[in-house]
Amino acid sequence: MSDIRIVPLGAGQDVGRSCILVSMGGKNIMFDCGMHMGYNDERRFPDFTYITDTGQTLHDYINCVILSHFHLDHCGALPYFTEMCGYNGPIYMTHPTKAICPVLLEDFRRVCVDKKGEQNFFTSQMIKDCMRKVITVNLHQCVKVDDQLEIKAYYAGHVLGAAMFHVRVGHQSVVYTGDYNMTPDRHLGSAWIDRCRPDLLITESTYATTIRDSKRCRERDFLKKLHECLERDGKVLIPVFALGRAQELCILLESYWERMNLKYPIYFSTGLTEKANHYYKLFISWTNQKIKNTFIHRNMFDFKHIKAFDRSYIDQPGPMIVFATPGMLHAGLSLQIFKKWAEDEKNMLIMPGYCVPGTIGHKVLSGTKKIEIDKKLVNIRLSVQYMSFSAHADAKGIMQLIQLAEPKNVLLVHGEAAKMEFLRQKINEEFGIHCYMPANGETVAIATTPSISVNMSSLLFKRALEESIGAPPSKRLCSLPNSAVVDGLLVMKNEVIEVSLLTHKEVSDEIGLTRHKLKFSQTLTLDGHFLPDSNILELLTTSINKLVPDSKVLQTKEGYGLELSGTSVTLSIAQFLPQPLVNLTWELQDDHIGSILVMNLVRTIPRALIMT
Amino acid sequence: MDDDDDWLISSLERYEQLFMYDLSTPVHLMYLASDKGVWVYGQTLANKRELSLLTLPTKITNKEITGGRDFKISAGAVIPFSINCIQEMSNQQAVLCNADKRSLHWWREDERSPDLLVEIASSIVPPLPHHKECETARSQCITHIDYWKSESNDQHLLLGSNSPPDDGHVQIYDVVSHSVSWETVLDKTKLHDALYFGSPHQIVLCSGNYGEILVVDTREPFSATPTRCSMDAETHDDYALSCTSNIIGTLSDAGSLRLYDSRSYEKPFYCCTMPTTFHSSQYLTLTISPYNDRLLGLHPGIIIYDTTSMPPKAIFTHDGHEKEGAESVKVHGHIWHQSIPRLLISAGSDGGLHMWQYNE
Repeated sequence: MSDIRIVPLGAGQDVGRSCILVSMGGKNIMFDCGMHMGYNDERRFPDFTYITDTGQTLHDYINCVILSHFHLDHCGALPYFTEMCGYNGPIYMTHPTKAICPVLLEDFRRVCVDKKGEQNFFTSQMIKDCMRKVITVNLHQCVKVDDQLEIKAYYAGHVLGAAMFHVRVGHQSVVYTGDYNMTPDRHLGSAWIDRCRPDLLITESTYATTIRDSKRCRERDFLKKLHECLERDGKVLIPVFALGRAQELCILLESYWERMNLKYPIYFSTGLTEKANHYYKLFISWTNQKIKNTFIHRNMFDFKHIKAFDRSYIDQPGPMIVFATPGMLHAGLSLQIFKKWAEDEKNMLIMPGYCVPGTIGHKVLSGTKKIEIDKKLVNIRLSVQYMSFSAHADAKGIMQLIQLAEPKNVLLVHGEAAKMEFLRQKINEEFGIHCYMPANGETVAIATTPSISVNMSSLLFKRALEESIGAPPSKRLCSLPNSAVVDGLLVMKNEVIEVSLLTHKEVSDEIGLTRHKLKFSQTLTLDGHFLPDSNILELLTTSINKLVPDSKVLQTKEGYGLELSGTSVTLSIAQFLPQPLVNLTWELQDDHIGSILVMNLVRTIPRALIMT
Repeated sequence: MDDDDDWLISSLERYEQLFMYDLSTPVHLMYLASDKGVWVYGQTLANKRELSLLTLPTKITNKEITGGRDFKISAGAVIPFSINCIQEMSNQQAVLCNADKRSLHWWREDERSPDLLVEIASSIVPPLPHHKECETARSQCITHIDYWKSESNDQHLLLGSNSPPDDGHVQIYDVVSHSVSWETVLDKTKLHDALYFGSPHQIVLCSGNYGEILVVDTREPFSATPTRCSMDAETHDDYALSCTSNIIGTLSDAGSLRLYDSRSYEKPFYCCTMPTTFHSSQYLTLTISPYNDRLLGLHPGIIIYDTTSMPPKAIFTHDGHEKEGAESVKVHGHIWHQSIPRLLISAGSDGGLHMWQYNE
């Protein structure tokens, strides 16, 4: 047996800087290369010293890098890894991820370098050079990285272009989920995977100890608070990233405004609005079925009630809603609007996602009432609401995915350090499989059992099925039970790695060998004397039925013998009375029946009928 | 918006707050431990049984800006037997009544793995003397439980059961000594429910075909005809019982509702037949709001009634479970939050767990 070894370099018992190193079949695969948004020092990157300490270069050690989606905690360290650490091998991701990653990376780079003054950060050119190395994959497309390593992407939901990856090396396989969700939302579908039965499923566990409120109730809360603020003449600011939950909320508001015939103005930042719209049109196949169906008639991302924002609107009186970037209020238009609106208690700030510590968004969510922005003290009097719309699987969703994929083991990443024992117990109880949860730098070795696919001849299958279920196969009864016994020959051909299970006849025909039969015979003397009218065949039949209960004993056509139906065992009477002699013959495959009869037949003849 | 969203839109006016959760197993029992936690017992058709202690969403409990809307699984366990009822005691410890035999089981958080619940003790409860040979029989299992902890830290459990054919059996069980300190038999009378009533020595029972109310002082000899009792005019099969310090209420499966003043309960001060019937007596429940004892929660269906008028006025119906799963969903129970007005938690056979605060 060979092991699969897994080492989290990031997101082991933590959320942030996702980076999982998997070694199997002599290959090393890196899943994700993210950045931890809570740190500003080297802790923001995954710990690559685990690889460099082996003495090998990153390029020699890693066979490929696979990125699940464009969130920075999954791709934020990629330019650093390729352009500053020197990895030069293949990088795989989906088309939307490749298109959107550089946008977020560039935005993040600008904040770190231009706003925070960081040095030794990757440059814009490095981002471009990094993305040139990317190889895109389609969903369900089997991509061969080399002769042994192949990968396949599955739909993950979560954000546009997010994928789960099934990786196979020889007989070993692993599924890495990245971030996913099992319930569809308004613009994306839910994650799905086939029953691929990997040796290991590496799944995120962000909400593993949580039972999430339904999406509809969260939407309801959002709409209720919005509407209440607008009705009292307030303005609502919603800081968002250009791509992601913003589109989800826009579709929700568009539908609600249309349904309720509301006239309050809704605005979205210019520039990135067009870019986001462009990406969703380009990758419409990645959205859910409803969006795709509607797209034939109209683009659901061309909103009727949501207009482009102009900075001159900031000072306009009256209620309005504005979606503005960036999402954590750390710069740009959203911060500018916030400065203007913060001191009016009629207004509202809705934060729809996580804010990194140190940002203004994070401070506001912590309850700070006064903030210095551009050397001016701003009093925060507006109402602050936090509404998480992030799309992750909760405890039930994780169990659903395990049920779909049927892995032999589960490994949890991207979650809390403590409080996983209950989930482990449930997984073990429900599926009878082990569940691991390593910390960063901790190695988990999972033993795998090689599995060999065998092609079974249809003739052999049909025979085995009839024998085990006692009926001809039909559409309903066409799977062999585990208890079925199949008598055949295993043939492995030299030219190709193909193993077949065939009948004896099929094998001898295929290889041109003459089949030989090995036949045994034994003459039995029935001791004692029998009455003149004793029916010897009847006595023998009674005995045989006792010794071989499942047998069907028939008289031969000639009338002087017996045969066991479905076997090669025959009995013929060589001499009848007074001393019956019975010739028993059988072939090799029925040797077990022949032996039973040889040893026991004589003594089990009913004695009452023997003349003493 | 979809037609599915019709209900969502209408809920904006009907509910002040609404939370809906999807548990992995159908909920059979629920117990509000405190204002911050709820015990939930779920069981699937394949007899997978889970016990969880859930922490209420922080949005409800602490009003922080970043308060979440999700339940946190504080601790849980897969348990090896079915249970009839749960009762929380102190220190996040719960006692479970086994549905397969006459025993009690104490479960609490494991010290080494705080998110796991483990059994720390169990006890066989003695049955009626002449039923000793059936002490493990399912028919003698404890079906009702209540808990009292006195100021001097004496802890008692009030246990109710029915022995075949229909003898009600009530016991007071001392938790420290694990022994029965008091018991009585309701001869040929079915016990519908038993609750502590204001003190460790006073209990109220609802029994018999007429839903007889019996208030019993356990310090005095119990007689078949107690000093105060009251009953329905007609016979019914099942009754639900609820009480506060001021009111005792009974509801029959045929919809007969009676409310009694706790100080004088020879005669109900409120008596009517509800406009709905309760064919599914298995889930027959009556609850009284903790801050307005003229507001009742009736179940199945979870309808809130105001009994200040005659007939009672249905002021709110929670149809969220039916919306989610249509007719096949059976609602297994509902509980009132102890300090937030009009906030209830309900659970259904599809695993749906709802927390909702209706608008006045």
